[in-house]
Parts: sequence; C-alpha cells; structure tokens
Amino acid sequence: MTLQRRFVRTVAGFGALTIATLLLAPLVGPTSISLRRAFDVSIPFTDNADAQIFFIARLPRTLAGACVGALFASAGVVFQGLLRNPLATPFTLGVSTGAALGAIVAITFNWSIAVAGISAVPVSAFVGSLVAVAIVYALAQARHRGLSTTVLLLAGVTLNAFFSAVILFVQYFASFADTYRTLRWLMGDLDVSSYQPILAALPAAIAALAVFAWLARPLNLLALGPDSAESRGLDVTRAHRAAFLSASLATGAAVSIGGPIGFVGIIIPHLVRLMVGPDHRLVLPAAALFGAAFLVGCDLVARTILAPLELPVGIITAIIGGPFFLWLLIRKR
Amino acid sequence: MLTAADVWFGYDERRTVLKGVSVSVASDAIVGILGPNGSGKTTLLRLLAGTRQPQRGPVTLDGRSLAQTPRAALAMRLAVVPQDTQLAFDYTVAEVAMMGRYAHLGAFEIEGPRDVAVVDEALAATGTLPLKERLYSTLSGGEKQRVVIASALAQIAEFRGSQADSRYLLLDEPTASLDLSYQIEIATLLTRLHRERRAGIVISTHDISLAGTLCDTLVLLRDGAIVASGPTDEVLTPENLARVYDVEAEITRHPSGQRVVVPIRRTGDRPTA
Repeated sequence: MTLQRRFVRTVAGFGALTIATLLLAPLVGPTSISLRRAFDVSIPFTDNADAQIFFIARLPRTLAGACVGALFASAGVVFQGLLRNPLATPFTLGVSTGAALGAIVAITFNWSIAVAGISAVPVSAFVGSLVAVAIVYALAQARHRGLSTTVLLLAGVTLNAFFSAVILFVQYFASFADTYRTLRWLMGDLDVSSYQPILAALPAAIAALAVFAWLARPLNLLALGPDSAESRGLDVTRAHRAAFLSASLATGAAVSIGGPIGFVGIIIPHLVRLMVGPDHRLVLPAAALFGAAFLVGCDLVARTILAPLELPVGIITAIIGGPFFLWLLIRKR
Repeated sequence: MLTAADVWFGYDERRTVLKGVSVSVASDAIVGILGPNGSGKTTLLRLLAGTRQPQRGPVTLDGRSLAQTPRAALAMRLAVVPQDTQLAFDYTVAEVAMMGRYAHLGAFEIEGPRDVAVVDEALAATGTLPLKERLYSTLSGGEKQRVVIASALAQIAEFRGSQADSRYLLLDEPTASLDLSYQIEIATLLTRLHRERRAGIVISTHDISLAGTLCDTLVLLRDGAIVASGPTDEVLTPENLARVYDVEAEITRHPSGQRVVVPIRRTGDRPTA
C-alpha cells in the first residue's frame, strides 16, 4: 500500500475516533443537560442553565483536553525520535516540570500583564521548558552517541527533583488559597472554566505542530543515527534545533493549559507505533489525534468516576501510565 | 574525482587525528584505507563523505569543495555505509532502503513510483528484495549490511544533473562484524557493484587480504599520516606492513589468485592492546 493511502486511512481512522470523543464528552457529566435547550437562543444565556454548563463548564474543558492531549502525545513522539529513545517524553525528561515552574512563577507573582497581546503564563511556561530542554540538549551533545536510557532517566529524575524543589520554594511565598489552587493545577487539571487559557496557548501550539509536520521526514532519518542521517542529505544540527525548540514550545503550551499531566507522551506514541508502524509521517498525525481522544476520555472518567467529585485528570493518566511505563522498561532489551 | 588535499582534522584541540593526508579517488577506482586502530581511517572516510569538515586543506568533488556544496546535492553523489547501523525504531527493510531517497524529495514530498522502482532495484542488486517486508531488527548481520548498502545505492542512483557526474560509495569496515561466509558475500557483492554501477568505492578495513584482493589502490595510515599509498601491488609489501603495523608478515598468492597475508611476529614495541 502506498504511503498516501496509509496516510488517508490513518488520519480518517484516528480522526473519527477523536471527533466521536469530542462530541460525546460535553454531553456526559453529573448533571444531564439537553442539547436542544443548550443551543436554544430564545432563552437568555443568564437563565439557561443547560447552555451555561455546556458552553462554560464542559466545552472549554473538552477542548482543553483535546489540545493538551494532542500536544503532549506529539511532543513525546518528537522527543523520542530526537533522542533515539522510546522512553523519552516531556514528563520523564523533566521538561513538563520545568514548564510548570515557569507557569507557577507567572501565576504566583500574578504576572497578569499581557505583553503585546501575549499572556504571561504560556510564555513563562515556554521559558521553563526551554531551560529544561537546554540542559537535556547539552547532555545529549556531550555524549555524541545519543543518550542511553540510564542517563536519560537519571537526568529526568534529577531535573524533576530540582524543578519540584524550586516550585515548593515559590509556593512558600504564595497565600494559602493560591497554594491550594496551584497544587490542584500541578496534579494536571483541565478544569479551565473559560476559553482564555486555550486561546492564549493557541499560537504556540499551532507553530509547534507546523514544525512537527516538517520534522516527520528528518525524524525518520535520525533513527539511523546522526552520521548516517547527515550523509543521506539531512542538516542534522538544524533538525535537532528545530525539534528541541518546537517540542519545548508544545510542552510549554500544553502545561500552560492543563498543568504537567504525565504519561500521555509515552502511552500514545507507543500504541500508535504498534498500530501504524514507525514512519513519523503517520505516527505524528496519529499520535496528535489519538492523544486528543485519549486525554478527553481520561478526563471523562476523572469527572464521572467519583461524581459529583471531579478528580484532576493527571491522577487518571498516572494510574494508567505508571504501570505501562514499567512494563516498557521491563520489556526493553 | 574525489580528492582530499593535505587535510588536517581533530575532534578537539588536544588531539589531531589526521595530519596532512592526501587521497585521490577516481570514479572507477576501488581504494582501500588500511591502518591500525585509531590511525584515522574512519575519520578520513567522514571527511571524504563531507559529514565532517577538515580544519585545514580542502576535500573536493570534481574540483568543487564539499563544504561549499549543498548537503542534498552531495548526498546524491556520495553515500556512506557505516560499520553497523542500529535503528531507534522497528522500520522494515523497504523503509530503511527508502531512507536513501531523502535528498531526492522535497520537504513535504511523498516518494513516488519511480522511487519505489529505484529502491526495489537496489534491494534486488544486493539480494535483499525477498526480505523487503521484514523488520530490519530481525535480520542477520550480513543481511543488515546488505540492506544498508541497498539504501546507499538508492541514494546515489538516478541523481539529478548530468549522467557524466561520478558517484562514490564509502564503506567503513564493511566486513568487520561479519562471519567468514558473510565476508565473502559482501566482497563478492562489492566487486559486482563496482563492475555494474561504475561507482568509485572507498573501503576502510582491517582485513588486509580483502583489501589486497578487492582494491586497486591502497592507502596505508598510521597515527593520522600516510605511510604509503599507490597501486596495490606496489604498496602491499612486507616492508610497508612492518612500518604500519609493527608486524613481520609474508605476502603470498593463493593458487586462486588471491593475495594471502601471513602475519609472523610482532617487531616493534607497540603497547599490547
């Protein structure tokens, strides 16, 4: 089968799954709502409880889940291709925690000022993820042959511990109410209650996904190793930089919306490779679509399993992802 | 003609790996680079491939400096086969061979029927067409090496530009990690490819008998400098082997016509490995 046909089939299949999840998710919740009433414009919005639940509580939350899931899953694919290691993800590398530190600094010190229409939280989260990625990049460069799993995991543990400590330090200056809010956010929570965080992160998300599309072929070549990729005509340094920058951008955008939600970047790429093979031109779009559906689905579980209590979605992904990650580690030669 | 003229190179400032090496590879030659471990064989191959730039002295392809030639244009004429290739993910044989077509396609272009035909032909030439749908990771060492050679052939096949442009295949110790039967298989394959494809071939190797049989020109390296270079008959002498390896050796011919190098004893005081 030609690549074109495989691409169409992959995008159609995973796209259908994502659309179905997106349509289903806003309808499900502790309070049952009527779609007809929600879309009935004859009732004033302030009196229409169904419309309020649909447009203010559930729809933004669903869209947030879709964006965050797509970004974490595709950033995971890019980090894995770049570092030539299937265990590299924004979360395990400490990049998510770096982004979280950036976001928390912006939230705690109330940098609400938007510079030139760009709000501070996603920018600050991007700076945080960039710092973490710069450290990983320096490590990878120092060891020409790429990062071994051991070095990679140790670096991730170290960065996570370091950034977590700085987060606690920043928390020390926050008020009690703020601390509760950021703690819940740190667990990975999609309860955004408005479209503002999504819109703020959208430019970075789109830019990152556009670079990912260009990176698909270079990532295939990088699987051969940097020297072989270079001799086949790839500018390896440029591809490395583009991958590191765009993956940090995606992680920063995702974390600014939903906090450091773990394990999406490892579960999804792995399952997708089992289904469509390793070609990044199929893996990247499939992972983005499947990641969106997966996180919206996990959030659905988080919202309903202990209803009316709503759990942070990060708890659900960790409960699924932790054992999955261990299984991968055991299975790896 | 692929030429390195008095090139100097070091990976860092403390250690110079190549100290004024000059090599010329004609488009119809098979050149062997011989020398002990750490003598700079692999580095010289990287400079000839253009994946590393010399600090001093140019490497040129038909008179044009590699450093000034776009990567993609270079890739269509120079292909490299590393000692062994490990993949980060489970690609099939067909996918690995198709990676050779990277430079021939635009940033978002998908390989067409012509690329598929070129890849199939390259796989057939290396006898790996029946393995096309297999996962690369499940192949034996010799099969893997042949698939990577097929990928290199697909890379330099049907290049844009005039048909008169010469093409080169650079192989780094192609038989080092293979057992005896695969060694013969790769040697036979290289001889045939050279005859059929008329591409210049450069091989770095530890296998003196292989180099003596396969190559028409030899370059002997030691500590990053050339000890001897020229036609195989003139270079492959007991005196030169003693100078390069500190080993007393006898060179005879087997009735089949193949050269046989018999190492007899160490002569110098090289530290024991």
